[in-house]
Amino acid sequence: MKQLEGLCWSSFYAGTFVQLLNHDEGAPVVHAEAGEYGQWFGPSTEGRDPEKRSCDFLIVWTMPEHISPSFAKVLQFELVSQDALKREVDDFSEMVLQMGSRAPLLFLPMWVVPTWHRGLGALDMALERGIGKSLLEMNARLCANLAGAKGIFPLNTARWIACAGTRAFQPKLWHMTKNPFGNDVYLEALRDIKAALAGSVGKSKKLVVVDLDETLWGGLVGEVGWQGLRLGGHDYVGEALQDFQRALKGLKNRGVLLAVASKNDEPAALEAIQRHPEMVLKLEDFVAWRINWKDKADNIIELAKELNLGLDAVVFIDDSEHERQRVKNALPDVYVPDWPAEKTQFASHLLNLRCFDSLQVSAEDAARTKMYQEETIRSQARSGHISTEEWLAASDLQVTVRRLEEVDLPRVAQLINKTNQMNLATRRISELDLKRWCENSGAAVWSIRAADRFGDSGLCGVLSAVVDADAEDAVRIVDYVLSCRVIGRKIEDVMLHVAVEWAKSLHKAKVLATHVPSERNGVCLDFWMNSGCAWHKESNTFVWPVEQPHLLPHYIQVCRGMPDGQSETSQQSAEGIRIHGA
Amino acid sequence: MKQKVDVVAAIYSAIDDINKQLPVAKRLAKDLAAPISAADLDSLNMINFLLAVEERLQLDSHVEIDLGAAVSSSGEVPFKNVAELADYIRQNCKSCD
Repeated sequence: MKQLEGLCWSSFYAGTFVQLLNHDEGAPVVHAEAGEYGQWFGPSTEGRDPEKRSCDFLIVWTMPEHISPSFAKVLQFELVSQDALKREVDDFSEMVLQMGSRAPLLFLPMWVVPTWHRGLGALDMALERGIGKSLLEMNARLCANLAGAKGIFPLNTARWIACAGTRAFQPKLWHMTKNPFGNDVYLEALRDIKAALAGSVGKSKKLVVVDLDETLWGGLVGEVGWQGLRLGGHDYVGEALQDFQRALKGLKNRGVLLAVASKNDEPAALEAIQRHPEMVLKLEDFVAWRINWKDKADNIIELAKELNLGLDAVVFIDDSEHERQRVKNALPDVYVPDWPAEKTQFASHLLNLRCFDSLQVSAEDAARTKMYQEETIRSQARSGHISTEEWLAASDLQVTVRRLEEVDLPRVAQLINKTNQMNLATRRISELDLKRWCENSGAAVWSIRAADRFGDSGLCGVLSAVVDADAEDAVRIVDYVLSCRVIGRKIEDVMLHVAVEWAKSLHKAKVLATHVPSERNGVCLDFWMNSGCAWHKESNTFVWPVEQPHLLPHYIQVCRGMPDGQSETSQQSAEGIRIHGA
Repeated sequence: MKQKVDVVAAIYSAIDDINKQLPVAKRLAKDLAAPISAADLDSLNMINFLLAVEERLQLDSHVEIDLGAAVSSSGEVPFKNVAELADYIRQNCKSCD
């Protein structure tokens, strides 16, 4: 992953924070610069002028009394106008919105006051002049003003303060260096920011593989049977393990897949999952399982393969130090967090992992487990068919292609940034930059949806293309991205067909696609190698001459998406499809 | 009453803290002879480091000492290495043995 460049504006001395951020060894590698202390609102030198700089992220960290003169008076228990307080927050919000347009990501730690500010005691949250009440309302207003702003992320400073405890604020540090926070606050902050940055470039984990005995439940099911397991009930360990299961279920609701790797007899283990009345997780919460006596590393490889995921998307959780070490050694790409022996800490340990952080949430996330389960049924049904074509014809595959609409932008950006395998160039781009690119480059972007009789795969592909800058008679594919869930269903051909048709509509002679190799996109190269395109080895570029008709797979129903969300369906033929807006 | 205080342990703990802020090549060694001077730490990092030592002594041994006063406006300090810093603390700490 490339080094990410950042800028930090603060109303206090942020040099310590920036040093910690720059020298932290966790991924991604970051190089940030601190703006002049106290000059957070604007550059003090041309070199720091954000208009003239490009960076990957901004951090805007201020103290409320530095932004709002009215709040400074609140700290002195003066009566202030609530309208003035709101106006000052609104002015600051406007400034943040303007700054947000200068970098794809802007992180905004919420306002806090030192914990020794007890305000008005019992009246502090009741009266308008209360410090706590004022701060709560200011933060709420700031968040509301920034809601929906792409690429701007208010961060929960109060959580960092709580984590740092008594080391959060150090008056001597403030008076000597104008640095209000202890390093523990900054360490929590930078870990959250780095997790967000990693998520923004597709590094968030997608699958949790979890053990059963002594991990999801207490006891060995093979020895005590499901009736003898410790789970729920009037037992603190059983309750803690139920909490752990709830935490896992929460991850599933966020779009993380759950799978099981357990050394057990499968019938006994599955019976426990299905019949134990205190199980929070049900069989349908898992996308796959390997319950057998084989090596867990081998089982994890099989699970990742079955789910079309890379090993670097996998987290493995097991109570056994031996099993964790085995997987760590055999599969260094799999993330194996150290795990507490104390079962009451399982849930908090899981909830504290940052590896699932993402900057986008889509409808597809919540439905991901269901989609994978449908894929399993699809695979099983497929085994009875001789050819791919026969199989796809029988599955009633329908592909909807439509030009990018604003409503699809978050999911399209998410796909571009998370997809590793069927990804031509592995370009990473924020939602905001993608929007700007679409507006400024003359690019055509299409979203691809797929559904068949087994289920709806949702928005699962992205195609973008521009008129080539070097060869004016050519259209160049920029993004060619397809979710690993639908690889091999010939949607790849539909996407190439769309590009050829677009080139034809612009009276261009050819379509170009340059494969940029990554560690994971070999499957994409395989497709292009077999696509019928000419391959220019030296530039790794594939060329389709537009004069040569590109035939759509006849067994796929392709729909032309309409702007109002309706679709016009037609069985497609060699004449191709019309694309809205093209 | 004087108490036994592990001053060196407090300094080493503060070195762990300050090293998180420093590039690998500039990190301080946990060694009595390891140099500590304005040449090794800029004035703000020197203050951060000494306040971290203060904090560690306070948290672990309930010892209060003002090391901030040891830093001149130019960032100079009256000790050259970890051992001298430990001696400085013992000399200026009324409750340390």
